[in-house]
Amino acid sequence: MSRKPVTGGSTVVKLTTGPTTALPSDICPVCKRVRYLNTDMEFLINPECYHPMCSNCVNNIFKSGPAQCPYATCTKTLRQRGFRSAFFGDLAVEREVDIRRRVAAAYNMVEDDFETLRDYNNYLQDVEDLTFDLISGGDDERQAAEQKLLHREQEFREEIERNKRRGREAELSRQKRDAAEAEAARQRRLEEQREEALARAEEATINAEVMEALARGEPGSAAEIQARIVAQKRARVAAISGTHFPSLLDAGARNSNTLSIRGLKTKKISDEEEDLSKPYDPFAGLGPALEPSRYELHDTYPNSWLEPAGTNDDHRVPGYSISEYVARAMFDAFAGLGVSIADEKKDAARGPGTVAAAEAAATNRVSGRVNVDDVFG
Amino acid sequence: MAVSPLILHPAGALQNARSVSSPLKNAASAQTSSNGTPLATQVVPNVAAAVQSTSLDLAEQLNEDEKRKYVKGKKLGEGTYANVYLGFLRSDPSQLVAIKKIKIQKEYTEGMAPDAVREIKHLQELSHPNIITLHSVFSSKDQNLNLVLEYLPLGDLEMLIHDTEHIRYGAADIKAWMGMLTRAIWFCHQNFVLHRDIKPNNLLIAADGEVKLADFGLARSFSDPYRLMTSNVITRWYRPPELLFGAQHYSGAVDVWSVGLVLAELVIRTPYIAGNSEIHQIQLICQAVGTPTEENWPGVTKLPDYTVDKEVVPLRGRDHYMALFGTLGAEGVDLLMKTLSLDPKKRIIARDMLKHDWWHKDPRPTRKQDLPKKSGGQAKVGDDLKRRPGVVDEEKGNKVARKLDFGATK
Amino acid sequence: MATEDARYRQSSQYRLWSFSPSHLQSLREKTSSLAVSHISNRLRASSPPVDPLPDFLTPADEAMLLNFYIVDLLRAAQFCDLPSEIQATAAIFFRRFYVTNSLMTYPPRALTMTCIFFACKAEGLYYRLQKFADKFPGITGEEVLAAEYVLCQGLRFAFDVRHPYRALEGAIMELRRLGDFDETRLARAHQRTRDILKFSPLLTDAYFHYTPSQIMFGALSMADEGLLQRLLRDAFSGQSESSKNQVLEMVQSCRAMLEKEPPERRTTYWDASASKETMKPLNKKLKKCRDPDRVDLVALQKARREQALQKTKAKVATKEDSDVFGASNGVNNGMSKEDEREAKRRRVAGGDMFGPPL
Repeated sequence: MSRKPVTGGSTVVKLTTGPTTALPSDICPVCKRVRYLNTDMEFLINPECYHPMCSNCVNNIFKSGPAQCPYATCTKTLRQRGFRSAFFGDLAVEREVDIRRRVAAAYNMVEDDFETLRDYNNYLQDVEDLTFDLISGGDDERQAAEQKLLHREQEFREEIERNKRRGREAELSRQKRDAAEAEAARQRRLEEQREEALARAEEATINAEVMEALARGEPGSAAEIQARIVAQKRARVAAISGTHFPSLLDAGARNSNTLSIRGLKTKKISDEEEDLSKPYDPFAGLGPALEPSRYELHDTYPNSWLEPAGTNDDHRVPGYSISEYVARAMFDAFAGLGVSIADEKKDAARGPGTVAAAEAAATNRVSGRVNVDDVFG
Repeated sequence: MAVSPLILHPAGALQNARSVSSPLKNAASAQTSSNGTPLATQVVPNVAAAVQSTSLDLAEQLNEDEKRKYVKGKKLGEGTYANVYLGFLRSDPSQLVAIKKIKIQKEYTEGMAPDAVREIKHLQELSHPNIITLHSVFSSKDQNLNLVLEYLPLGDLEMLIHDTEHIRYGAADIKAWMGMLTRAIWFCHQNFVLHRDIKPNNLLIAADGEVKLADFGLARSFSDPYRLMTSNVITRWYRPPELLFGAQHYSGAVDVWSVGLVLAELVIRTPYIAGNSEIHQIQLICQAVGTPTEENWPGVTKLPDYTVDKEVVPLRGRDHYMALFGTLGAEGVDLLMKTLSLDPKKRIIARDMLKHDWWHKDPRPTRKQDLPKKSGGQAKVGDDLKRRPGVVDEEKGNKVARKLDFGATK
Repeated sequence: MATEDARYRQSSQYRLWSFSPSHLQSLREKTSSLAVSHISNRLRASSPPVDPLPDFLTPADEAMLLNFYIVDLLRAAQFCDLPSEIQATAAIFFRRFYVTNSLMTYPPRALTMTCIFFACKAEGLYYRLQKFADKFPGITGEEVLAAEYVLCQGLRFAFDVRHPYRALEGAIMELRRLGDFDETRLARAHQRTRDILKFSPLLTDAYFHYTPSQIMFGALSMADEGLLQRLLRDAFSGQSESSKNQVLEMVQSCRAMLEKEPPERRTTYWDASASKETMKPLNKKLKKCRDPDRVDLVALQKARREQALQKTKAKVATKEDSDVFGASNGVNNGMSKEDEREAKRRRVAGGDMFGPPL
């Protein structure tokens, strides 16, 4: 036992197999047996050191208990149950994936856990730095990162568990939602097919009716009969389109509940990021817009007509507010003074304003008042 | 929107088909057969022709244009006052609206119902993120009013407050909701409108969590001096003492009192002052806030309907409110106390509410999309809108005067 | 940008009821020509057919008559002791209604009553219908209500009218606070401006082309130009001379419009002998070219209600398709006189390609 033992446990190891990290394909690096003679030869690795050897060697060396890795420079103590077959041909990749899996399990927070998108991005960056140190950092860096990871795994076990559970639930609900969407789409398709068939059948019967009516020699010219039946046809088609309607509506409602969540996410977050960086504005930005600009409100105005409203009990006691009246009178006196109707309404006859239309297209709701720019003509 | 080509133009076809097959023809002939006097037939046919005339005047064309912008869909709710339908913009079916169709009131013989007139009048003028948007109004053939309103699918604040089993919320959520409500009422007052019916079930919730003040059926513009207003407004539980005492000249302070009681209700999750009669309401106010006296409200004893119990309850102190509403923090309690001032002159005004320190203390108000919400509130939309404005569900016991008696004011 | 202007642009008065002069003119012409063509069709189709067709009112005739009836309306409103703001609301309702409806289509006398009654409702002053109707001999409550719905539609459901009255109070308060003028001058200007505002803007198109503050300042400048200058100096103190001049220009052109109907004309309008002489021929002309279908608004309203009832009943009783067939069956089975006439009207009007067969 000349080689010094290493403390076990889940530590991240440095790959020491030299320049090539490829999984051997036909010669076992330990016992040198060749595939040509052992067609069922299988190579296994142990994530302690990722040294590949054939399943025979594993059996022989570790059957009776833990033993040191047979590789000359390796000091790891391995156990048989630690061995598995590699998923990737390149063992460096295999290792990286293992590391990433472990890091991801420990650092399993999601976007919603963070106040802002920036915070979340910073967190992702930190995690990636740590992962990089573990994978390709030097000894010191690797050890420091290892310490961090261990600390996280031990100290935050509960939180990690909770996040894991939440992730599972989210995944489950996502699956459910996808299934529901697929089902809804299927229903829509079916309904459309049915309606189309119905409409087609309707058309056929109408054509038949025209022919029949003409054949019976009903009163009126052929054109009249046709016109009458066309009118009926339109009514029936309209009725069919009426049944089409609820499904359309439902689809709209569904969309607004499910799709919007995904679509709006990034936008919302950027909005909120800005929002949260500023102090809360109780006026929601409208404060200055409702303050007078052309006049100043004073506490008192000489006005003999108004005075009794301030002193009479029937006004004063229940709180009638003269300042409310004054504010309104002053607003009325100056509101719209600079509005030039002749200019602003000049283009009114041209039709709906493009501003409202653009707004309506840009936002996901009926924006403003629809009839704002609706003008006669 | 994948529709078979056959169904692409049905709108026009439908309209034509309707005007041809209008049942009016049956109506006209039925009328003449029942009273076939020459005199009657002289008038009726002309009138009937005017009714179904396909040639429209300019005014009718404009109405028709407005009407055609929307497509009416399934019924969301039905009430005695109005039916509510889901609808969408014809030019963009993804934009949903609620269409509130006001029924003709058989028992009301004075023409168009005043509450509908008030609601339309004020909503036409007010445009704010926290006030329900009236997109359009049009009349349908059968002379019903159709109000095209913003579609608010997530129910109202009352549902959230009283669903103590499923809905949990905290101080940050309360602050967010109060912010939206206070902005709404501030905007109304800045535009010289008194709402006069603020209560949790008139606060509807939009898909994005935004709270919207609705139901302007009791609203009116600020009154000029010496013009009387009725004191019979605001649902009793939210009615301020000056109205209970019969005041006929009042100010925005009446709405602020209601806002204060909504805040209290958000915390304790049950109406704070819920009297079962006006007298009882006054008694409860005395107990909860203190008895209005000449000391705390000079002149109050001269108000027309001033009556309080002999036993005077002193004004409740800060400790009393802290014990009940401590979750709001000291600042929140301070704001609450300022809204519940008995003397309306000392009551805080809406703008000053928004300038209060509470908004800037921790916790910061929740972002609107993160607020607790109830899904599947579609049925409730119908419920909320179909109510006659200014009326409370009977079984809840807090009745409001639903008709304003202006006879007394003139 | 001044906040006051931005806020005014939110009002329905600006959004729906403000027009450039040329636009308003084209609307009125369109209304008139539509009315003429509809009424011609109806007169030709009536039995016996009216031939030759009468002279129709020109838009200029209508404008004159409109003012005549507004003076009438103001007189009636004053008789009811209504506050001037409500009187003005009623008058503006009337003006707005007849932008998209013709005097020939809807009888102005009936609309006068409806406008006053509805203005009370819209302003929150509730008049009992019966009490209101009793004030005017020969008018029933039914008649007052008959056109209410049509009126609302004609108003595009905008029930809020912004007046210049409170604005005047504000301006006078501000002038008093400034203290540059003696009280008698202010009181005189105040009174004079108020008289102008109660009359001139209601008899002109001022409400369509100017904002309430511009109307108020226009009237104030008629009363006392110096006061206007003083107020504008402060209001535009921080701004360029040009923006102030632009406002001044608008106020002056508004003033020019108001001066066409100075309050003194009230007496000439009201002086029955003078006005009747000019109006008589016009009223006669109107009587001849009225829409025959809309002379009796009460019956029209009844029929419309009836139709609504029938419609709901029909919905319950019949299936969707039978609507289509039911109508044509009815015609085939036993065509009543009225249907016949209607059919004829349709053919003459040539409007409906899917009219009833034969």
